[in-house]
Amino acid sequence: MPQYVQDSLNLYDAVLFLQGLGNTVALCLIGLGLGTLIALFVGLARASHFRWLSWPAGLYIEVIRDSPLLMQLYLVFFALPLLGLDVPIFVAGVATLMVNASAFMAEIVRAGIQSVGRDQWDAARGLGMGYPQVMRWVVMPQAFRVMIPPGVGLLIGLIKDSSIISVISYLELTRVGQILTEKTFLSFQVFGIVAALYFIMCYPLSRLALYVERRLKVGG
Amino acid sequence: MHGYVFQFRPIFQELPLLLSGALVTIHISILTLFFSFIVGTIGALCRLSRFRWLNVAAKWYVEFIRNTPLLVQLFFIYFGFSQINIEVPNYLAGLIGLVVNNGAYLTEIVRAGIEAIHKGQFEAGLSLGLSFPQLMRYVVFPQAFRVIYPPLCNQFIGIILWSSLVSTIAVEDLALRGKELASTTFRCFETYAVVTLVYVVMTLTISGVLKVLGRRFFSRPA
Repeated sequence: MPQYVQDSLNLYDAVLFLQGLGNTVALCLIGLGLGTLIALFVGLARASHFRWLSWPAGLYIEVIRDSPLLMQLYLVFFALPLLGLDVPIFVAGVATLMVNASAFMAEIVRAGIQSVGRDQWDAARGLGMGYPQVMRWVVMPQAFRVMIPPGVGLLIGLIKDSSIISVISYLELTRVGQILTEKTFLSFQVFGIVAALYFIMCYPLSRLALYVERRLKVGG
Repeated sequence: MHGYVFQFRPIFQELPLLLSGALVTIHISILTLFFSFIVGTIGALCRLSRFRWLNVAAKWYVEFIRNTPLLVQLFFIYFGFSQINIEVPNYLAGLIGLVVNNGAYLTEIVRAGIEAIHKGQFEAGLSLGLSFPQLMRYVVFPQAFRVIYPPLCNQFIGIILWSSLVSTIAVEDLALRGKELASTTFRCFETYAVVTLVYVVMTLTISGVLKVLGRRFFSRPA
């Protein structure tokens, strides 16, 4: 009688795991990169003195932070075709992570900017620098150091959140786990390996974040 | 948009259906908060224990849960139980998954609260002859809870939002009702926009109420 269920995991499954791992990493890095770019502008707007900039940015951040990522994924996935954009699933996934990361990163950017003391601003202004120059040469370099530990924390969170993209059938690590479970029915082994792979990705990053935070505190 | 007309009427006609899902979401969130607070307290006490093996075990529990996704944990519990032929109802599997996940985060929160208390309080309590449970109940917890309250509220909001993942293991919460409604009306974007709005309103309302309660009963520590 032909076997419809595989008895154990084999080499082909290992390759599938690695594919899923690579897809997850690609999804997260591109999502975080694009999200950070957006967050720079939104964060600057949120930290601005002008209410017409600060308030819409605040609204954007609050709505995204107070809604589930799963709903954001569905919205982006179904909104894109309505806008006439027939995009591959990867792009929909990246767009969701990008939007989500931009809101959380914007708060980190805002906190970083506001952590730079007023005296730095006054000194730079006293030297005759305009707003863009102050930002570019004085405030942002100092804010950047403050942003790194929470930024790494956000990357860790994003790697875990990318597991939701499996819902739209993108072949990332969790989806690979679902497919292999359907094929072999070995849930403990399959999801154990999936969890271990996520752990191998996230745990070194969390140690890195702790290390960077300690280094920055001592450096001052 | 090629002549697509947004029609929200079919969604608002089915609002009671969505609200019944919202009720399940709140129900599972409150239960999760309650049980994960218990798990978190036990975990925090383990982390602060003088027995090395309790300390290490709790540490690894927290590290493992915090570095793996909730969805994978839910699948592990839900599909894992069926692999060893134990029938777990969806709601219970979702609840266990959420409790195990949030228990780890609450362990760290409760631990920070207990560590924030001055050592003199412990010494004074012990010198008055209080036993360890009495010490915890009358001296430590009332003071620790002031420190724990804000992150605990944040965690509760997180629980409400992340409970939407139990829809993937077929628990009839708001997210799953939204999915059902989207597939019956074919108005996917409108449905999910309304569902998202319901989540945002729930979240903002609850966080506002908790903030007011906090100011009234737990004045922030000096």
